Order: sequence, then C-alpha cells, then structure tokens
Amino acid sequence: MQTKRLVLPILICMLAGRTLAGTVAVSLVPQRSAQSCRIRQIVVEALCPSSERCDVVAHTVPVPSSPTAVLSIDQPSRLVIVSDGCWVAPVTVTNAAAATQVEVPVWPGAHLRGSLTNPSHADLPKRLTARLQGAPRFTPEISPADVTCGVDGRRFDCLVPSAALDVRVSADGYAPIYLWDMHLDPGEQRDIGSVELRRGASIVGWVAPAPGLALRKVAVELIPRGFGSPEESKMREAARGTKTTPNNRGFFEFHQVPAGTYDVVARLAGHSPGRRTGLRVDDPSEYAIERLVLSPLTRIEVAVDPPVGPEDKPWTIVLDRQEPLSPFVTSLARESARPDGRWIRENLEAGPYIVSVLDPLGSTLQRKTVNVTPEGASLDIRLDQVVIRGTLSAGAERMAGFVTFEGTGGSSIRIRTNDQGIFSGMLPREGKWNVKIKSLDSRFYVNRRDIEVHRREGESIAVVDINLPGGRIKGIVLDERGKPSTADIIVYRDGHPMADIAAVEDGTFEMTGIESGEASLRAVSHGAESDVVAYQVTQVAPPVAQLMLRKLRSVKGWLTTSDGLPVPGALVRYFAAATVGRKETVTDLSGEFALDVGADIGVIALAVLAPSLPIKVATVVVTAEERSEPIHLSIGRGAGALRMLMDRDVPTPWLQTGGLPIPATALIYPPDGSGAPRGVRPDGLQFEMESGSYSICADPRGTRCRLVHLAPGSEQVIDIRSDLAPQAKGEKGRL
Amino acid sequence: MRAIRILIVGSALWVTSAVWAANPGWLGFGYTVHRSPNDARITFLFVRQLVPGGPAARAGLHVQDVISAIDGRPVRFADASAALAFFQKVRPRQAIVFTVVQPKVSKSVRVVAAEMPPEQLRRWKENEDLAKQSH
Repeated sequence: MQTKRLVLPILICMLAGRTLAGTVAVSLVPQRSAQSCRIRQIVVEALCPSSERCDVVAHTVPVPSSPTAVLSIDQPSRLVIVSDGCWVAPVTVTNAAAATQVEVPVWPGAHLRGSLTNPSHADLPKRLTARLQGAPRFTPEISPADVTCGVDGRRFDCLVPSAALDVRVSADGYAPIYLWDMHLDPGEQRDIGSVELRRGASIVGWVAPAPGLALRKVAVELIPRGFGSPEESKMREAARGTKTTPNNRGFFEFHQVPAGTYDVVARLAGHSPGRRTGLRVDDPSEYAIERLVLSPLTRIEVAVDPPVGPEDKPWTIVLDRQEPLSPFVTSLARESARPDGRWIRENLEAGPYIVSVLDPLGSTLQRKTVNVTPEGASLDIRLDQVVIRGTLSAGAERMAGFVTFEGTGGSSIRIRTNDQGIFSGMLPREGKWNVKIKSLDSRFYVNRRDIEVHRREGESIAVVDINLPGGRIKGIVLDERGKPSTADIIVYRDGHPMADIAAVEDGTFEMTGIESGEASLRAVSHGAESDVVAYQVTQVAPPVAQLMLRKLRSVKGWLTTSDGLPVPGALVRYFAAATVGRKETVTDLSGEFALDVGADIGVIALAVLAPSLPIKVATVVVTAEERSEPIHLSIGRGAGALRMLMDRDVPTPWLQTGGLPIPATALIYPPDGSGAPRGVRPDGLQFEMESGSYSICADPRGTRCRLVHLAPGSEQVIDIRSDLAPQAKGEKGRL
Repeated sequence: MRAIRILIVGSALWVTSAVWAANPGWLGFGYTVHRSPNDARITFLFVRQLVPGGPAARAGLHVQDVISAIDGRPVRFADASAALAFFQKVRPRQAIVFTVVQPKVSKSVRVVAAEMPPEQLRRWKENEDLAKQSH
C-alpha cells in the first residue's frame, strides 16, 4: 500500500469573533487509492466537560482543495472530516492551547449494508452505531472509531474504510453484533444480509491467544451463581451450563443473559482454566470481561527436611486442590516422598493447593496452602521433630487414653498413652497446641486449649504433662418407657458444647477431666432427645444425672415459590434455642419437609437454601401438639445481595430476622459441579437473600448488631471486621 | 481375564463380576436417600456433591437435584445400603437415565459411567474397609 502526503498549507480562520489560541495543522494522508477523494468540509465540534452545559456545538470549515488545513481552535474539539466517497476517522484535539500537527489517514470508502430483523417484532432501532477497527493481521493502523449508520426502516448503511476490518454493530437496547475480518475493496457495497437483533444482556470476552493454542478446542462456559427473582432464576436455570467456543481470534460471546451473577470459565485440555468470577449482570447491555488466560499445566515440587521420618520411614505427601473460591477441596494425591525428601507432581492446573505432610503413622505434621502459578511452585517444609514425653491425668489420678495434638493450619498428631497414662511421640514444632483427649474406652471426649510444648534449655525432649481438672459427671439415660438407653450426651458450659460422653447399653455414662461448677447436659439418640438438664460438676461424689429421652416431634411444612409452585430439593437448616447443633432436612418432590424438634421446643429458626431462589431466613413458632398445622413457607419475593467482609480471624457473624439467631455459615450452599463458589468469597461471604431487614450480630447473644435493609435488587455490604468491632476500650471479644 | 469379587457393605452381601484390569463404573456424584414426610413409600435421591468434570456433572446433573426415578423406574430403595448396592453394580460405559424433579417440570439426565479414577478407587476402597469394620 502506497501512502502519499500532499502538502499545501492554507490558513483558515473561520472562527471569527473567538479568541485566537492554538493552531492545529491537519494533514490528510491518503491511503490506498484515496488520492481521488474530495474532502468537502471539516466540522469542528467543541468538546465540553461533562459537568458543564455546552452551548457551542459545531463549526463547519470548508476545505476547497487542499489536503492540509491549519485551524485555529481555542478549546478541546473533535474534528469530523466530511468527504465524497472517502472515510476519515474523527480526530480529537485535546491540547487546544498549543500548536498541534495531526496526520489524518484518508481511506477510500466502502459501504456495509444489510437489513435488520427482530424476532420479537419490537420497534426497530432508529439509530445504529458501528464501532470499527482494523483487523490486527491486515490493517492494524486503523484505530477504533465509531460510525453512525443510516437507518431507513429495516435497511441500514454504514460508510466504512475499504480495508480489513473488525466491526461491532450496536443499537440501544440490543446486544451488539460482531463481524470479523471484513475485507472491503474501495467503493465496494457489501450487503451482509439479515442481521438479527436480540434484546437482553450479553457477555463478551477473549481467550488469551498463546502460540499453538487450539482455540477450536477451547470451551467457554457460563456458570450462574447467586440468584435473582423467580422469573430470572428460571431463565438463568435454562442458561446453566451454557457453553460456547471462541472464534479463530479468541473472541466469544453469550447472548440473552438473564440478570444475575456469573462465572465465565474457559477450559482446554492440558491447560489451566481461565476464569472470570462474580460477574454481575444487571442491565440489558453488553458486559466485556478481561482476557481469560489459558496457561499450560504446571508442577509442584515439595522438599521435606529432614528427608525421612522416624526409623527412616518416608513421609507421606497429600495434595488437595482448593476448589476455586470454595471451602471445599478435591484430593489429588497421597504418595510417599522419595528417600531424599522430595516429591514432585506434574500436570497440575495453576491455582491454590493444600500440601500435607504425614508421618508414618498417618498423623498430619504440617499442612500448607500454596498457590501454584503457571510457572510452577516449590515448597520447602521444615519439620522440627520435637520429641515429647508426658503424662495424662485427671485430678489426682492418671488416665489412659488418646491424646491428639492439633495445631493451627491443620496439623493433627494422635498419640496413645499406656495404661499408666504415660505417652511419648513427636511433634513438628514447639509452641501452643490444642489437645483433644479421648478416653481409652472411647466413652468420652474433652478438649483442652493452648497446651504449651517447649524443650527446656539443654534438654532434647519436651515434657508435656496434661493435667485435666478432676471434676466428674455421672448419670443414666432412660427412654420414654423408663428403660436404659444408649445415647450421646453433650456437655454445655456457657452455651457452648465442651465435652461429649457416650451412654452405653445399661444407660450409664461417666466422665472425668472437667472443671467443677455448673454445666448443662442433653442426651441425643436416634429420633429422641432429652431436655437440657442443669448439672453440678464436682470432684467427689458427683450427682447422678437422669436424662429422659423423649421422641422428637415431627413438624411438617411445605415450601412454595411466591406464585405457589412447590419447591423440591431445598435444604432446610433449622435451629432451636439450646438445641444440639444445626439440623438439616430436604424438601421432597412436592416441596414438603419435616423437622424433628424436641418436645420442649416452641420456636425454630430456619434457613432455606432452594435451588435458583434467594435464601430465606425465618423464625417459626411450633405448637406442642403433634398434629399441628403444617408450616407454609413461600420463597422468592424479591432478592438482594448481602456481602459480609471478613477474614480468618473474625468469628462467624449471626443473622436475626426478629427471632432466633442463625450463624452466617448456615447459609453456605453446597458446592456445585464446577466447584464454583456458593456463598464463599475470598473476602468473606456473599448471599442472595430475600429482601427484608436483617440484624447482623457479632455473636448469638445479639451484642454489637447492625440492622441491614435489603431492598430488591440492592447490594448491602457490611464489613464485619470494623462495623461489628467492639467500641468500648477493653471490651472482650475478637471482633 | 474375569474374576469374582465379593463386596460387603454394611449388612448387605452380594456378588458382582468385574474385570480385574478395569476399575468399577463411576458416576461422580454423592447423594443421600430420603423419604417423603407424608408418604413413606415415596423415596428420592438428593444430589449432595458433584465431582467437577465428572460424568454426572458433564451430563447436567446439579447439586440439590431431586432424583425421583432411575431408568424410568421410581426410586424405591429400602435404605441407603440398597442404593449403594445398586450403584456399585454400575459398570464403565453403562448409561443410566435419572428423572430429575424441578419446580413444575421433570427432566431426564443421561449419565454414562466412566471408569473409576485411581484416587476415587482408593477412597472407595477405604469406604469399603470402613463398612467391613462396622459390619
């Protein structure tokens, strides 16, 4: 292609009456055969700051015969060069105060024509815009430019440069249409036929090209997350698992995307997926996402020091993949390290992984999260091998049992004492450990926090004597007929479970190793629970508690959408005051469900997690009668997004809707088939909830709460780390 | 070469034939068995977990799907062990059609079993061992 510049400066000062400021020399540079073009005029459009009203719109500057014009311009302007049969990109002059030279390529023109079709027979658009740029392989010098096309009924006509082009045709309220690598000759009038306009939002993006990348084999998937209104949810359900393939340029698009939140994932065998997560689609417009990068599979190398464990036995390496933005992991490998302490795994997708080192007995000595980048990752793990020796006792008596040392980060080392309560073993580090103690007959468990493990100066062995308090609990569990029954007994103190005892066949239970003082006991068995019973823990002659199991009541209910359709497959999680943890049931084919509640329970807090519907949180009152009216729950009366920003060190916040509190973790959905997030984000939790008012509290007692009004379609963000932090100096608590 | 493998899970005992060289059939989803609260004869499977990229996930089964029928027959498992027994007989490349109930509509999802991956096979054997111990 030959480029010829014609220089014939003519000074034109047509802006009479205006302050003469900077001058702009516009040199017209013909491209291809554009020398024959005739430039008719230059329209100078003043660019006004968006914050100001701008009365001056445009001035027209005739250009009789010259390819170069020198203009006097006193403010930022846009120059539109009008010609016969040519196309010139508009020029923006921003620095009007200085003399400026601008070279403007002049391309021979061509026409893109076609007819619009609209499947919904809605009004055809009155205005059509074509954004064009040169196809990178052929005419990269053509920068992106917008062209307004003529529209006459269904017909449209766009004047474009005769070159190799990429064109994006768009109209208000419709998804844009992309035309790639359009090769147009000078003066050509290309009819591209019918163009189907589709309303609704669209998502477009690129898969990052890489040398040799087989784009045809790339699958790009649109995965819905979160939930919108019931109608949106039905549409989004239909969009579930929508896949497409990028074109040979790496471009992909999804049309008619219903409102909601999505993940876009590009996959190719032998490569790590490229992801864009949490894309929120609200308006019926186009959402362009950043490039999805597909990187080759990579590797991780682990080196353990010392290279082998006790008795020269190899360490075991466990590799788990942390599913993207999810609390769940997928186990990938469980293999012995080599005698030199090294372990390598090839062909891994880039992303977060968890590496655990196990000793020959299967205890987890160290557990680390590592981000494997496309370049790979290497992990050096140093194990101190702290030899420990100690005794386990409760009160003044030695105790036989199992001692499990649990450290932050997932270490878990289980050691059995001998019959005299003496134990020895090895820990991977000194410092504080939480310890779980289980009696040798497995009849009770008790937890101790912050046990210090340190070697004294000059000694190679750390002495760890664990002295449990001497408080004792005794009792018997009876069924409704007064016969002894097996059961689990939960010991509560200050509302928190702190020990677990098993009642054996004769109904008796007994434990030691707990502080003296007030406690509460509840027995739990299949289909039956006892009331919560107050108990006085003593070291000598503990009282014998009698726990009477009572059959759980079945409280029935049914779940429908707001328009009355039954909702099968919903998880119903429910809590009652002083109950034993969280319970869960599932709605059946007809949306019906049954809750098992204790005889003394009158109020239940519910969290309903239905597929493709917002989360419902409610408090219901249940009557004492077995044959009470079923609970009817209606779900989906508008939804908003509730975000709770938090980190590892912040305890779980609690939600209230006027009744009992529910921990926010009860709102986490199980992971879906793609491992996609279901409420858990790197910066905390996010849920699509029914609109309404919620109290977000720092604890279940309702201290330090913040009221959140969630309107339909809105998003409320609460930073648990700061919004629920203690205000008073010296107040206890980690929030 | 064909051989006879005896699987013992819970209190159930059955015999399946298996090719030693091939792993068992694998569908790639976890489930629980439920009864309708108003009609104990009606049972259904509730999909709890899906292995990303596994046969069930690829076929379009979703977490929280309610499965009312298998190969056109209503789900009528006496208990979880019976369901386990059914799925342990599935062979690689065997196709199973699940009827999934959603609000207002039902749909069919055809899942073709794959050969169980080594890691899944390891876990499966661990579960088998646990079941033997509890038995």
